[in-house]
Amino acid sequence: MALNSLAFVAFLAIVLVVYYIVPKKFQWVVLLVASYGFYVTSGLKNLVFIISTTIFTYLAGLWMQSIRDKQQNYVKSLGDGVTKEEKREYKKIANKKIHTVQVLAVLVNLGVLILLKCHGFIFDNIDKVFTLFKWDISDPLVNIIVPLGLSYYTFNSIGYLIDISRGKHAAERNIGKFALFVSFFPSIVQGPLFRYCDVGVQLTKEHKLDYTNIKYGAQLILWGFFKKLVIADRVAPITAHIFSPEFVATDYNGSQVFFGVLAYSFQIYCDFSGGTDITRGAAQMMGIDLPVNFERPFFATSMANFWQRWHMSLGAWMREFVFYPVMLCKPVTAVSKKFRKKFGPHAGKIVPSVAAPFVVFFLIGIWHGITWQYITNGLYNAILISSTVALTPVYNKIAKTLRINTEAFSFRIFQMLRTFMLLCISRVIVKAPSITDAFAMIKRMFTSIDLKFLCGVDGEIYSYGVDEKGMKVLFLAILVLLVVGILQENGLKIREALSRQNLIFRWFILLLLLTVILVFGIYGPEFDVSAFIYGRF
Amino acid sequence: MEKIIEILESIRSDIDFTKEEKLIDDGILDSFDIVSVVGELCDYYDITITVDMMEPENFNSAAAIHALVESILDEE
Repeated sequence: MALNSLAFVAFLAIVLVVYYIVPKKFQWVVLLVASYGFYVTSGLKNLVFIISTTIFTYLAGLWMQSIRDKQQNYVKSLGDGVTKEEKREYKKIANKKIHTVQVLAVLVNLGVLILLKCHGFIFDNIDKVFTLFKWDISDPLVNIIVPLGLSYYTFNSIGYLIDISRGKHAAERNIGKFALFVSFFPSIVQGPLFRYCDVGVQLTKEHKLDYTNIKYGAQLILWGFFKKLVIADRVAPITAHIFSPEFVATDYNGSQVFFGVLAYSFQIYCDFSGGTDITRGAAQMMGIDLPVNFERPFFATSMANFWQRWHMSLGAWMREFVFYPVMLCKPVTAVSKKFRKKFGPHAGKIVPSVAAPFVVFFLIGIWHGITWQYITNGLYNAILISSTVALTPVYNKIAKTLRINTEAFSFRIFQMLRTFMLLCISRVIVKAPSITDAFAMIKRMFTSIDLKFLCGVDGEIYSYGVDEKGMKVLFLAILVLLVVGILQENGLKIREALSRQNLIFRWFILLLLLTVILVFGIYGPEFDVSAFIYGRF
Repeated sequence: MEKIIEILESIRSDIDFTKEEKLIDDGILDSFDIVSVVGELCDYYDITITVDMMEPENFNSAAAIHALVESILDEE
């Protein structure tokens, strides 16, 4: 069941009615039944994987908890007859055991994820090596379809295990409540990722029917539909055309690639953030606050800033469970210290700034899928971020020498355009038909500029799958998106501002948005654009 | 407390650590600065700062960092 389908809206409406009718202590049961009902619509076979992950992670969590409880009860039973040093020693032994269980359980979860998502890549490359020795290795998992939300529920489960190991919260003893944390239906398709201590506890709390939550939730869903149906799905044929092997085989020019990547930037943002708005809106209607996943990434002033605004829940997950552990591991801190002592504070910063982004972005690359394109893109982002940290003093010196006012608005515009250009390269790397095509397309973007196709004299721009009328709708819709973005960037909370307006104006705006979605939304029967891009991950 | 400020200033001499109260929330210190701070604190006080202590509230001001160090020293 797609998040942008009428079926989902009807399903959500039924769930909400039942959710607020039943006694509050059973609300979480309604959500659990709804979540599994929703999940079944993606295929009955998929249940095997999510149930296995749920049971395995639940038991591993309980195991870690029992080790900690035993240690604490034992120390308590000793009363005053135990010294501080002995207490510390008991805790250390227990933590070591907990850590071992956590590492094993995380490896199993990761192993399943990698095997299910990356078997094609793994066996393909093994096969290439074995072919040299004339051995034939075929992929035994070739018929397995990646279960819905695999990456999301696996990452949430891994976060849960690590948090228990760190003593952030206790293990959930009720398997039903834990199963809801893993399978919560609005977020299972494409996140956002969340932690048990933030969202898990909210899911099983009792929630009163609140008009503001219903109103704001519905408005967020409507905005999500606008982004997805009016912009992302309308722009999709342009992207599909320009990044197709057929187009790449023609004598295209760099301006066409740039047009395609511009279209793709809006498509992927509106697709992913639109889906997140629908998810967060649906959860808000239930009184559940899911993490924000996007903060207007088009306004990013650097690549590091972009990753603080794009897929923020994945960024937060990576920071907590990969970035900090890598940065704080003994080899990195030891080398960092040596550099700091010998070459100054900035040199000390360079060591972690090189080590951690490479690990994080390699993993983000794999998270999107193991292909050489995603791995290359991960490394590209890591190089950009590491070099920014390393070269900051150089940039500062250049700005000082040239007397550039880095606080000026014009400089911010320059930073935004520079970041956007760097992102365009990143988008081409993943979207081109192959890595070789990607490099060729990037080269042409900067060497072969010809804007004739934009003039529309020969109608070429309208031959990419969107006619003149469609282009006009797109232009206006993107304008609305940017205006809203600028207002939000300046601190305006749109929904709160709207609720302060008079009733007639408020409803006029909402009905206008609904009409635009109904009239100009693309419902994708002729081309398969309506599926969410990030649903794949 | 003075030693904490001395350590912080050795890493970022451009910040007045006696006044700033939102070092993390306002993005004054970045993740890389924090790791340098943690490295110095661990060396000087011979303590271990673990990943689960990497919460914004523990690093938002010199006073918060001081309180964190004190609590670790007390526990150890």
